[in-house]
Amino acid sequence: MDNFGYIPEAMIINILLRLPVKTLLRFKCVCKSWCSIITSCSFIYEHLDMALADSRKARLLVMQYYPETSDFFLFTKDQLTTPTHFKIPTKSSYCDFTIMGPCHGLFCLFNDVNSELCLWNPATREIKYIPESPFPPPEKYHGDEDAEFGFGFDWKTRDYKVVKLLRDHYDDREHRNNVYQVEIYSLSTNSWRKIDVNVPAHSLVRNYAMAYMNGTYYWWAGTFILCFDMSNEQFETIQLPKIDFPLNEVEILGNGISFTEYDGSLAVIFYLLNKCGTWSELWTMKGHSTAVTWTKQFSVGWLKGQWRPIGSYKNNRILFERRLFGDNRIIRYDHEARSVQIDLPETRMDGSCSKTIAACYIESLVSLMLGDGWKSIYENFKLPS
Amino acid sequence: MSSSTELTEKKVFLLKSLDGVIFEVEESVAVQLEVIRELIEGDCARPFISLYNVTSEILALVIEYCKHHAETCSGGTSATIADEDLKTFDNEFMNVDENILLELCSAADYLDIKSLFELTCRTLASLIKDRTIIEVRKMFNVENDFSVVEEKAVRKEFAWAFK
Repeated sequence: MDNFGYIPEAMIINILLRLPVKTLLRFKCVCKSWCSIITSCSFIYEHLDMALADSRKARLLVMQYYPETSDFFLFTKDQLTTPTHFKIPTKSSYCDFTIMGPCHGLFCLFNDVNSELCLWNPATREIKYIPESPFPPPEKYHGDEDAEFGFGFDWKTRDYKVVKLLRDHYDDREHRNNVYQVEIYSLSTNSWRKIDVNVPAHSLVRNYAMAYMNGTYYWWAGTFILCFDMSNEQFETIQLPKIDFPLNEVEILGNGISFTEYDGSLAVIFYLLNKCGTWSELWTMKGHSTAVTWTKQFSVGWLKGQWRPIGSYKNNRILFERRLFGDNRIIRYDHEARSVQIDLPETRMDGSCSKTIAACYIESLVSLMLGDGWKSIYENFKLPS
Repeated sequence: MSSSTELTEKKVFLLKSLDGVIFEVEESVAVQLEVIRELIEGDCARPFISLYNVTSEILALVIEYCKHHAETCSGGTSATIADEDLKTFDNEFMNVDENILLELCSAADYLDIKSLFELTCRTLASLIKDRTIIEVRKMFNVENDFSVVEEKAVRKEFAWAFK
């Protein structure tokens, strides 16, 4: 390199912006200036912004979690045979995690056993435990097994938030009088606060279907969806469409919904299980709150056996999971080819696997140790919502 | 339109490289260099432009790239065929020595050719993705300014990323 000694920093930054997280963590060792580029907030968010804009970088993430050992296995589309293994450090010997996210490559985990709450970036392997809320729970609150959580990004204040709903229990069998105490944790202040807001839902279908997408957190609440806007901190409801399943006059074994992503927006997979097999339909949603219109994209049926849809990707592929004692399997349905393929290798797919999550995932450098100053420095920096 | 009238109407620019070689380019090619397009729009473009940061070897490549892109985009081919054609061309165009790549990237930055800058950055990124720290330092001509203790500490924090 006789005639090429000096490389401008803008060029270095632009090359680094196109590298995966693992390589960037390694390249912090190249020299001090590379290290400070890679750890700067502006770089972290430009890197994320670029990944979000480039749909080729979005990968299917399948996460399996084993409660007895708190082991997580992450399969990403380009390495389905060799999952990355993680162990979440926890104080309890047995874990029952509620998994929220991903949002900007981050997950929020709530351990039902000891109420530990943490944020996790699998790409950088950073974990941050969230301090306990200082507020006394409502009078008739049964305990955190009765709490609902949501996690997401507030693009207005550029902050990550966890929302906690504590149900004040009444003996009314139909839960018509349920009221909620709502608390919000924000990462930038590392603290909790209470908000005075009406929750227009009486009972949520706990831990079943929930998702974060584009600044809003969604929970399934029976005939409607409860949503929480991470920026204005208000709840709203969205009515679900009425689905006419072909019943086949066979006894129904179960039904439910699963949230997923379709063209960058929230979509819902409705499913019905009976002795014939599984019928499912993917519906997309346009508009907000009361002005929502639903469109059915396609249906899959009947699949032989009882398969629960756990997510979709590339708009036309749905992953289904089946749990039979000691025989947990995942299959992929490709709507374009109208075919079913076995997708995941059966490594460790044994009966002890407690949860499988399929989501569209973009790895990020986002740090959970953001200091107080980070927001003000990048106030004017364009951030993805 | 006959080809002779077309020729006389075409505006031509002379670009002079760092080492004094002069290249004649048509306006459709020259405007792909954002720095020159700005000069033209501001009516400040003289027919003779000196480019002090680019050698003749690199400038020849840059002109080849801009020429191909200008021709493909103005041709009567459909957008999808043009896209495919450019993809094939870009892939072959990037098949050069890595020092040339670095210089092309730097020239694209200096001449402000967005598509070439993006292309070279992307190619360089995939080239260095799996390289060792020592190889990267050598390629980018950067000196290790960490002390032994400092480097050890940075390495220790993300030891798993080196596996």
